[in-house]
Amino acid sequence: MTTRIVELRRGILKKNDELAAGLRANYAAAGVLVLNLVSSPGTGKTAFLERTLRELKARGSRVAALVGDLETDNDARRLAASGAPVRQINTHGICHLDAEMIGKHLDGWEGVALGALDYLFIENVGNLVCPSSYDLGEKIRVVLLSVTEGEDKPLKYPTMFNSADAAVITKMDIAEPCGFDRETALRNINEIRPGIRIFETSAKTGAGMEEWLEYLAQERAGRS
Amino acid sequence: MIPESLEFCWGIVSEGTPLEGSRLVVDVLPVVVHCAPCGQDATLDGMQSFRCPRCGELCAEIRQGRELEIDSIEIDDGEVKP
Repeated sequence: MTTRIVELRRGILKKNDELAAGLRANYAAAGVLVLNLVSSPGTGKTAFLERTLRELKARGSRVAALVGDLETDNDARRLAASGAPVRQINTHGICHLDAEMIGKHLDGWEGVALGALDYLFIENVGNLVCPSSYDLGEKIRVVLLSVTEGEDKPLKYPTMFNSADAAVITKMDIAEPCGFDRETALRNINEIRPGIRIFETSAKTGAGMEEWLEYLAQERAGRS
Repeated sequence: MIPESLEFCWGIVSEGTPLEGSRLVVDVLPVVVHCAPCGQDATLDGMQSFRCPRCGELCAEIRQGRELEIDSIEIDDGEVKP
């Protein structure tokens, strides 16, 4: 009997990473800025995205969204009220979106061509754990945190916060009654992801949206 | 990455396959960041703060700790079931 060691050095997420690299190349060729929105369930991703889509459309931008949930197309119907093309991805129990699901839903999306879009938003499944490992080819990963969740969320879920490119604090209109400690929240985010851009917003009142939209425009200009 | 979870699942997924009874050796790599002011890499204790343990500066550049790889497999020829 002989014992041999086979060196593999193979990334376990290699297949997803390869698919994501293909998507990233497609997005770049089409000139579309792609963002992946991640948060816990209930943070307000859909409300924030609804407002973002509406405001971008009002400014003449061409936008679309893919939205992931385990079941139901409730979020897609809410987002479609903005007038933007929206497609629901039901994962049927899977707790995150992966690059293959994105590729499939982009391929068969009637009436939507990447080349005809300025922005594509992907609203991930509400989960602060698994989506951090799955690259969707996005240019910007946006992590959202609501004032009702506790300022220590970045410390509890460092992998997700560390992998993000921008952070959005939602529901700022109820920060005071929630006893939200803004300074601590900002410090914790910065401790986990030094230098990250942080937006303090309310989808209800529109607070902070102007700054967020300005950031999107700059990121888009930077890419084309 | 939680080694205990990985080992727990390994036993289940390898059952009834040629890898049944194989042992998983998990090598956990600590997070290493690059500290610009110090001009060198630094190993962090955990993920609660991305500060250089030497100078206390926040470090955004990660040099190690995101890997999730199968490094190698050790096989005893002749014992593999058909």
